[in-house]
Amino acid sequence: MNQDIFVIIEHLRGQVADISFVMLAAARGLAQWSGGKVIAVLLGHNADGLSGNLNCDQVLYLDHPLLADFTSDAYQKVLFGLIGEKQPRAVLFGHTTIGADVASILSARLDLPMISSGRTFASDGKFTCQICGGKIMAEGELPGSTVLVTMVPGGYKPEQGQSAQNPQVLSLPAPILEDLKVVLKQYIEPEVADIDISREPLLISVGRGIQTQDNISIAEELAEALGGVVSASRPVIDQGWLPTSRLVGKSGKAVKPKVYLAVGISGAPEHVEAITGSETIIAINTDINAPIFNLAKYGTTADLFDLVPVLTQKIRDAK
Amino acid sequence: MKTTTIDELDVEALNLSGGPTVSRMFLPETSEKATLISGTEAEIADRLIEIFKELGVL
Repeated sequence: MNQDIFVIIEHLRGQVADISFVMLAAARGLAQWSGGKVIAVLLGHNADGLSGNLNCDQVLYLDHPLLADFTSDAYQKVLFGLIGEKQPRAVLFGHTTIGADVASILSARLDLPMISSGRTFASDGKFTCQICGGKIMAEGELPGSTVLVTMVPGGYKPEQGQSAQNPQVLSLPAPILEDLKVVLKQYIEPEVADIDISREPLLISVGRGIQTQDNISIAEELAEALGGVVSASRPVIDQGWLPTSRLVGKSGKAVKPKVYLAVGISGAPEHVEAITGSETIIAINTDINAPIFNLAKYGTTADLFDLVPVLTQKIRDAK
Repeated sequence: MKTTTIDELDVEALNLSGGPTVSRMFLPETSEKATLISGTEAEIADRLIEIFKELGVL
């Protein structure tokens, strides 16, 4: 085993995902503790240009036409060989549909320990991870062998994982991938949205706490008074209470509004990742331990059903 | 008549060595992050309106 920290770079449609930069920032501190290098592992096809602003000591780039788009099968095959051969001190994956999928399978196949929902690493190498969706944190020691960690956003800013200097890129041959069980046939673009929430400066976003479809109107009235737009987290969209175009999250849109008002949203990792670019987050949630308060600049534990109608009326009166 | 049998497994048969060790568990420290606004609904609403104005969205 060497002391390097591998970061598996996530990218989609030519864009490096923010979680990749978060992981690079985390890896820098961990590498200082281990005495190794930060190595970005980039899988793709004609994708070496994505390495440009990765803040790392070296990029290991594996190119293959069947790596042009993510499939679990292809990533497993490539990473199984690479991690088994290089034996880095730690391998960081995003705690995403991609990372959780690949890391858990590799953990089993390589018989390596795995830490889920990692958030930060201390200067002594101790890790902090979150459990119960972020309501409880756990701190511990890394095991002595190569360890796989899926990382959630929130512990580091994506900017910390970016650099203006191009890193050294080392191209490695990809293994034979022709016998894949799953290949991507077509990428289906989402339906044209009624509103592009990623461009809106003021979002009133509702979560599970809104309880029923009828209660959506409470948020819509506030949005109308403020001149904003209503968006939502996954549970609301899954219920069909708002169209998919309003979904904020890993499987929806990442947003960067001037103000993001989170109403009844707990702050699941998949949601948090998509709102870290917001200038100011304000949270309304009765649960003081909700992870959204870790990210919000302002918050209140008032009941949304008591507060929001009063707020809406006062805004109307103030105009 | 119940026919389901319950098998007992020896916990020691599980090999838990080599995994991470957890030294402590704790609640997230929220007070250092979000500035909490308290008071009556009207007072909280007034403060939120001030914040909206400060941020230039109202």
